[in-house]
Amino acid sequence: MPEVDRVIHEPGRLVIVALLSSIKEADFTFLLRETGLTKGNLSSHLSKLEAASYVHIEKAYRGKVPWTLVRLTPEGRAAFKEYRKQVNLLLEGQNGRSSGEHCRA
Amino acid sequence: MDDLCLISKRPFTYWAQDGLPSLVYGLNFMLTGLVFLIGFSLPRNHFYPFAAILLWGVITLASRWGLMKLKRRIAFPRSGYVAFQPRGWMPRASIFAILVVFAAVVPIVIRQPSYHGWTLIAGPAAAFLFVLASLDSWFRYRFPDGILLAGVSVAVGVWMFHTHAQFISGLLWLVIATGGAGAFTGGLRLYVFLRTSGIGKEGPDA
Repeated sequence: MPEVDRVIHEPGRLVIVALLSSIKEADFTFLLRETGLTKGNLSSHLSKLEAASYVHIEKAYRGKVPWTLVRLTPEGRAAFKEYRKQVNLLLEGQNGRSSGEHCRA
Repeated sequence: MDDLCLISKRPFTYWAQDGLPSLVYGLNFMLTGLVFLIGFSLPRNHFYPFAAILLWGVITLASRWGLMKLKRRIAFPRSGYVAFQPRGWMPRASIFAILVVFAAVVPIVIRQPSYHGWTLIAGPAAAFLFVLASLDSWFRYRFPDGILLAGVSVAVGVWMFHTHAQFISGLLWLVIATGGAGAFTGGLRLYVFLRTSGIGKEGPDA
């Protein structure tokens, strides 16, 4: 039975990583809107992903307004790829068929 | 896994949500079509096809610049900022090849003294390609204008077939019509976006 990455496996963090996987970077407002998480929750998940070196967080100011930029690190991209592979293996084991590892943008 | 695919495609859907890309590229299509249509209706000489291509390049670059300017001013403060991965060499090479072929073929076709049978079929065929591209954008990215653009392309294709419209003028009307439809829906979506989206603030806990 393959082990899945617990840092990514949590639903909130999984959505964050999946969103960041197809882009270069996004800001906090975009992630807030697209994940539907609260500010506190999103902040906490981002901190955990940052601690695992899966995301790089850059704090800046736009005028006087704080601006947080988030991007997936190469480690984060590799971990997400691996996570999808492992989940596919698990699902294949259950269903006896491939569940579509690749998704084309 | 399918849900993960949908989630990872969401930034592309998000990009079109505010209507700015449809509005700007719709206007781009209309202007480009008009530039070529005007050039096509002028007496033939050696200069205008090149001027039209040059203008097309200027319009395309200006649209790209204008879209990013509008995104920064209107969309990003409201719905958040997203930057996409730079394109790889393959898509860049494909776009470059299409542009080179287009730039080489258009002056040749425009200078044709008369139009032959293939040019009458080529118009509806081009409309069919527009339909496929529009439906593809609808299915893959949930691009909301896809269905309308496909419908407009079908209508122009049928018109070209029935009136035996010449390939170039038919193609240009196709570009103008789809551009107009795109700009119209883009404008509508921008209006709704501005009415419903306030400027977002990260807050102290961000």
